[in-house]
Amino acid sequence: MGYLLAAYAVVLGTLSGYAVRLARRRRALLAELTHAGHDPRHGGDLASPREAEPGSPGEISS
Amino acid sequence: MEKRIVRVGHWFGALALLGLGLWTVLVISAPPERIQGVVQKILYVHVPCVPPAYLGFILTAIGGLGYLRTRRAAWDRLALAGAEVGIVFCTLIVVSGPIWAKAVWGHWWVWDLRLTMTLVLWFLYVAYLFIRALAFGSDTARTFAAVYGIAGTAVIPFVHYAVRLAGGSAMHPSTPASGGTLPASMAYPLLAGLGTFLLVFLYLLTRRFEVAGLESRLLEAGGSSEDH
Repeated sequence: MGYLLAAYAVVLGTLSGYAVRLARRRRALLAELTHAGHDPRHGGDLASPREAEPGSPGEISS
Repeated sequence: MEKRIVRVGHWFGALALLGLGLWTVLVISAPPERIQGVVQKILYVHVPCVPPAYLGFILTAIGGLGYLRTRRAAWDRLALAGAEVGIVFCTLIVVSGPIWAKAVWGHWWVWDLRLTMTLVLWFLYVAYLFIRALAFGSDTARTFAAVYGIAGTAVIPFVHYAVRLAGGSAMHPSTPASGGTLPASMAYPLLAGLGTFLLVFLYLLTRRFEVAGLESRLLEAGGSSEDH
């Protein structure tokens, strides 16, 4: 029974831990981008999100 | 395309949660195996980690091919996301397998062909991530990583068909655990696990892909990104 619980704890713990780590990293990056004056949702400058050209460095959609 | 991938990722997450609920119920209600007893239920968590690991490494090769053809960074990010999430699942195979082996065979590790080749596969892609981390961002590094990622997939058939290649002398069963030889009460939790872990993989892949995109945008914006 101990081996069974250990295997499930390792697998489910690792997967949920990795998902949480990715979510935290994403939140931190969005905050940094916003702080740097880039609107992460538009891919351009916060003051002029419409000015971002498709394919420009800040543009997320292709 | 990238926006769509991120949006679809949320759906994968929601479906994965539903799948996890169903899988848990099926695993709890599955009967213990006659010889191994309750420890045989490690099957439902060990085997479902295999397809996502293979898929992650195959996506690394597809991303590498796409990058070599088009030189677009999105393909490179797909390759990176595939390798990292693939490594997570491959690590879980390499860790959960020995726990099961210790309980059933009495040994944590045996150097049979499948176990050895799985470990080789794990080392290959850990090295891939190291190479990428050390030479982040340059076109030469991306090109080398693409070629390495494509070449790495050559090991997957050796892992998958290792038991056959060893002439059946390996400690793993000779037939892949697809649910076909199991009674329904054991096949359903296994199939639910395979489907659910695939959804978890797709969710994590889309999340990692998005994070990689944000990291490169931050670099382009002149910010700091300490974790690649």
